[in-house]
Amino acid sequence: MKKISIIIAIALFAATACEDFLTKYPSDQVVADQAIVTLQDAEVALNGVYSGFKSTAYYGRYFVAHADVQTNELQSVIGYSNQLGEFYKWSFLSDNGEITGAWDIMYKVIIRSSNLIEALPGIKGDSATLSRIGAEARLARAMAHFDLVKAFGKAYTQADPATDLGVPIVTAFELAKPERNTLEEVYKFVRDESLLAKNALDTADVVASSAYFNKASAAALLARVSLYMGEWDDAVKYATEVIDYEAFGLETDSAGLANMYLTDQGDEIIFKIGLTKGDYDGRYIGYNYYDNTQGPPSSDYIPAEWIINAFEPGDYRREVIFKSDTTKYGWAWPLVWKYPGNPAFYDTEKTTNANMYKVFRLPEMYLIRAEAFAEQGLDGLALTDYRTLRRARIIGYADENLSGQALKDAIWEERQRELCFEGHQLWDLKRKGLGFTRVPIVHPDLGTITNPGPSQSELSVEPSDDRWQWPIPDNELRANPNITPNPGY
Amino acid sequence: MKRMLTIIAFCAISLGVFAQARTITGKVTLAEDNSPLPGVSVVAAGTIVGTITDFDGAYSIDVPPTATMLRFTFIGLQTEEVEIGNQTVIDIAMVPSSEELDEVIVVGYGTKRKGSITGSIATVDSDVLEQKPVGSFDAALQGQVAGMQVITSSGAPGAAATVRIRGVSSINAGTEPLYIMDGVQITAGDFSAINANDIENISVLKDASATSIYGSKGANGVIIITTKRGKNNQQTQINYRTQFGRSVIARDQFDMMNSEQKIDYEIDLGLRSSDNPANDSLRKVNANWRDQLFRNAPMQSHELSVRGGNDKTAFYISGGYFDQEGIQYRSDLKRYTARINIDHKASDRFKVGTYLTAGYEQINNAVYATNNIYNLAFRAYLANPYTTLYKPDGSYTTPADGLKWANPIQQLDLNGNMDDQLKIVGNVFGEYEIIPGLTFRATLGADFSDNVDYQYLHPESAWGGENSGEVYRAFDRNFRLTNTNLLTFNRSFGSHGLNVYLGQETVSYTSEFFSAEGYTLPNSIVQVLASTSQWGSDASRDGFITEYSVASFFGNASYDFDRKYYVDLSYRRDASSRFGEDVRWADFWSAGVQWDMKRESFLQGVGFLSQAKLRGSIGTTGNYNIGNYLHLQTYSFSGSYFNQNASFPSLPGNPGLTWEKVRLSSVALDMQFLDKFGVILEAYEKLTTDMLFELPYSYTTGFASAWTNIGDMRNRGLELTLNFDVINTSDFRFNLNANVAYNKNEVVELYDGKEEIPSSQDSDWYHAVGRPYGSWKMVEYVGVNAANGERIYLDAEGNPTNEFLVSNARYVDKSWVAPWQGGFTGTLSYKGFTASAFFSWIEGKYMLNNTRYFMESNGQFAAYGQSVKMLDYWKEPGDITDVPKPDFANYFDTRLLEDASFMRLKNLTVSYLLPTKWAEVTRVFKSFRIYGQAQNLFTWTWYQGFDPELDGAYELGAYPHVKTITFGIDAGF
Repeated sequence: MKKISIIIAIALFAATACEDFLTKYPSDQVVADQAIVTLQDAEVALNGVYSGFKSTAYYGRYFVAHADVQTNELQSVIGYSNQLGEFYKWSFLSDNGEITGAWDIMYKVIIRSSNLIEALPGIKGDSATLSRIGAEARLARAMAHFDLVKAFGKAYTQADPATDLGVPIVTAFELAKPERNTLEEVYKFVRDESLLAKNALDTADVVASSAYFNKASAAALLARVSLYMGEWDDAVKYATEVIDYEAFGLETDSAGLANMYLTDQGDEIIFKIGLTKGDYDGRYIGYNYYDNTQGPPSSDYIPAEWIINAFEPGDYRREVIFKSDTTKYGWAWPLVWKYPGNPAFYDTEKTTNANMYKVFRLPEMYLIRAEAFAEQGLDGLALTDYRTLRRARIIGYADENLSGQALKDAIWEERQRELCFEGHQLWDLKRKGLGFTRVPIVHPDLGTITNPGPSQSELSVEPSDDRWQWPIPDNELRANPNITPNPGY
Repeated sequence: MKRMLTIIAFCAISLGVFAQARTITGKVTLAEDNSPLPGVSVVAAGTIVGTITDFDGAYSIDVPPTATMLRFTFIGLQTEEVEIGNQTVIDIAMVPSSEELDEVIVVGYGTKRKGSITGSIATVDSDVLEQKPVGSFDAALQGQVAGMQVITSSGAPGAAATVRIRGVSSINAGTEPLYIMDGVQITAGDFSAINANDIENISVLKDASATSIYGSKGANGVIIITTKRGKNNQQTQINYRTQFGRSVIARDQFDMMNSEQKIDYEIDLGLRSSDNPANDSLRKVNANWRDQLFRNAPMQSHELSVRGGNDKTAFYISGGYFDQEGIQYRSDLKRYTARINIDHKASDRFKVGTYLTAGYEQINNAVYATNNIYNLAFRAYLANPYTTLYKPDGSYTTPADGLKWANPIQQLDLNGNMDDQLKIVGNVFGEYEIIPGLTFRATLGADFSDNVDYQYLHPESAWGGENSGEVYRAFDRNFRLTNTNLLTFNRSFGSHGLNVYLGQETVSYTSEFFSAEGYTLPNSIVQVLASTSQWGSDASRDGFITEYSVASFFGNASYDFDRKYYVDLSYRRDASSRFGEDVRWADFWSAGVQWDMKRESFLQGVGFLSQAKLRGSIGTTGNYNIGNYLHLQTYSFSGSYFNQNASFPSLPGNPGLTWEKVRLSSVALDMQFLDKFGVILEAYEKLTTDMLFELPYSYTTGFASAWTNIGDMRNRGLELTLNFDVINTSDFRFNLNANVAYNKNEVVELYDGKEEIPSSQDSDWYHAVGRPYGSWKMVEYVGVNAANGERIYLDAEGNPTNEFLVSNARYVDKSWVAPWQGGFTGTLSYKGFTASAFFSWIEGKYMLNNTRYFMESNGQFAAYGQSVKMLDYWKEPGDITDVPKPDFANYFDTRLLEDASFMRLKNLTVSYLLPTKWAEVTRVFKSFRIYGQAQNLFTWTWYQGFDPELDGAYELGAYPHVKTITFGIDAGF
């Protein structure tokens, strides 16, 4: 009997030892249910949400650059590297890696936020802090949904929001294969969630140049979403809320503006994507516009003539945002200089043109409010905002008097002057239902310097073109039979 | 012990004719040293009466009166039959078997007599591997074994090969075979620090009967490497071997435009003004970039080995040095190796030993020498011929001088990309014979490697300028410990041969990695981390440990009757830490049979048939070659936001994740005619089920995919091995051998009833049900319309169209994995002269020539160096040409899909062995051999790119293969 129990004991020990021998955990990860347990874990997980935004597929590079390269603002030069080429040529298909990358990272941000929101009630700690973390996560989730619907759905103002398709609304991690919600549902979700977040955030936390969400960035998102929806009252209301914060102010001279673009610091910045010397590499929106690491700038894309000529004398933005330089192709041109390369990242003059993307800047709030007022026929109020911005931008600005369509056009032109190369043009053209036609650039001495042909420098895109809606990625279609593809691909 | 023998004897007697038995006694010894031979089977021929010799080689057998002969058998020794007559004492000295039939073959967990193996095992002998001018021995295995495809993808020194045995058996999990060196599992593809000259032979285990004893690890076949051992009672042999040689590019296919042609082409295409004042001077520049990036590269190797033993201890010791430069600048391999193998008999029953090797290698990598657009060799072709590497003053040119990229020579000259490795593979074992035939063996083995990776960017180089110089250093340590305990019982009872073993094994693996990067160096003299003033990127500051473990229990029983009928059964139970807790254990089994027909009386009289065997086997094995923690749901911290810690979901988890299983069935016919002509014909089927597969998830889950067991794949094939001793006299020998294999792969099932999925996003090859792995699905290109110069494609219905639409892509019934492959060798020797030529070939491989996409770009890359072919573009209606009018459009269509089948004269060797008496005259040498050999001397292929030998679907400027010619001597002292 004793013997038997010894044998059993040995067998049990051997079995346990064997199971222990076979149980391995990674050294650099924790199992999911132990990941968000303490307040500290929650802060770390919130940083995980923000780190999604800095992905190269998102605000780190492509999602911003594509929204300009696809439009009439930029032209590709002969001999260019063909990077971003499918977007420039509008030849992207549903297997496009960068579109897939955007879809992927935006839903990752959504899942990261959702997991955090779900875990918060179980965490002990300062309730105000927990509430703030939850609100920031909620705002991130709303913003990712908004960016998704902006790219993959039709423009709210150019569609039937009740029936046209948006993107799936996701609020929790589950192995689901969701259908697309309607535009209306998605926009409502984005607004409701942003409002919930805004209400939970504290006015006292609002600072300029922040790399984290605060009450002002929630209002800024609401203002932009309202504008995209054509909800003019709300656009005015939320833009006003941002403008009224004392933390923010417009730059009024070229040195200030240049410094803002260079150092990514300034009172104009409401929310930016935080980058550091350690992680800027590869996150360079301006790389294909300048890049002098190999010698003279190897610009793939140069500003179209119309945008260069859109600045009147005295408008100091022109000298700040363009840099005339001789490229490696041997000709000189005003090159995009909104991404001069943050000197905190670079030790020398050689730069791959990485800067922190400014998601919301104060001028956009003035432009939103001006546009919303003008659309409501409140020309006087619109003109005030229009003048405020231009007065800050033009040395010796003399007040203009505009009204009606002329005022609306002027606001639109001002919007392009102010926000060009900052990832707005594609979405603005889309929501306004405008097409465009590119005009090749002819150098006085060398002839055409942009790639010839109707697929490149002479490209013309109608407002009705299906490709204004990016294709739902192939991989999603393959994995999720319930999702409806976008037509035209 | 005695009692057991008595019982056996008693049984034998009782089964025999119990009358008038005679007792015969005697002693069996080994002829060469008169040492007693225990364990020899002694059988009265024609009866079932038999016994076994004891420790002193003595036996005693009671034979029935009907018996007339005694048969003595022992593995590895020639079977002896002795007429009994009136003798009562029969002593016999046995000699090692010279017949191939009785060769001992290394199999899973031991050795077996060649004729007794029911499984499919091929062996590669040392002469195939020794003194080959390749840094990684696996590269020398190409074309040697029917059904084993070996492809080296690069000509860089020390490049490893991709080895596939009987086809691709998995889509996402690893397909490398399991490598076992002297009983220790070693890492696949990590062989450049191992000295191939130390290898005695390599066994390739192909079917279920052979591989399933490796259970969960055997699905892709098993390669067992046995290193050289000393021999007891042998005079010490000292060998010195050396060789010197040179490598050049094996083929250079591209004819690029010269400056004159290129300038004109640019003008014609409107990229350059004909009035450009620089034109005339540029036309005169004709820089040969290729000559400046490629070189003739020397190699040399030296090796000293000592081998011998007394009656207790046998040893083999070697030391080697191998030094090979690559044909690209700044690529080379230097290797130092040492080995010590010792076998010691502590007593008659107890043996101990160790097999241990250490190798240290230093490798310079030509920066970005891989199969991609960054490869400088590729850039050498795309450079315009009117641009130069150096300015007239000798300084490097830059993009400001018209280069399209950073000056490649500057990057090579100034920057560094080196790694070194210390690799130790070894084991210690003890073996104890409990009773005759029953032994216990315990082995503890380790596969250990330390790797250091060093990258340096010079502050003044184009690549290093951005951060004022960069230093990156990474270290990884890999340690795999294998413990095997084995109980073996090996006895013959009369005509019944029995070999049984039971075993238990654990494998545990730990790997640690860390790295750091520093920016900003004060000058170009100091090139280490300590001299940098700033941290590099966050991503380069890395470090983690990763582990896995496997536990196994297994058993095998093989039985033969009268060496005529053989049965072999195995069973194995494995568990791996890589799978979910409830599903980590799995069972594997196999059954094999063999019928030696020649031993049947009805074939005894058929004189021309020297051997005829029929074998068959069926069984299962598994595959667990995936990442270590994929069944867990986890959060990772490998990121940050604004210098603060960040966490996010990393793995989706799948607690049900378990083994991929492969069922193998195989039949073989092994025949020999007139003792000269041997044929082995084998047919097999390999069915993979529960494939380890990255199942795409909806991205809305936050994950792109998760590892799941899903889908089936099948490989069916035929293998033929021929060996023909055309002439075999004492002075003159001529031998031909060849092998041919055909493998038909088929994807049987994917997930969710899907008929096809692309192999990856944006890929032109698909996984499609009913089609082989690697099937191309592309838009078919027909040619150029003579009327308008536009391309003609076929649409989805097969009608001509001038539009390129991805939706028109169709399966073209071509795959990048070759179904046919083989090799053949002819060896001619006359007295001391030997000449041998070895050819290997692959047929039916279609590879996308991605290099031509750039060099023949129809205008898209007209700003870069272009092939002269592009000059022949369509210019006016009626032009019959294959090159469309340059419309700057360039697609991956079938124009770029090329037949990459090839045949290579892989090795040609001519050698002369000095007659022994001449060697002895010197009083220094016992033997002396001198030889010259050429590797990759000729290649026959239709492929238009760098080289058809590449294991991949797309070829883009791969490091070209090399032709190496060496001369060497082998001297014995």
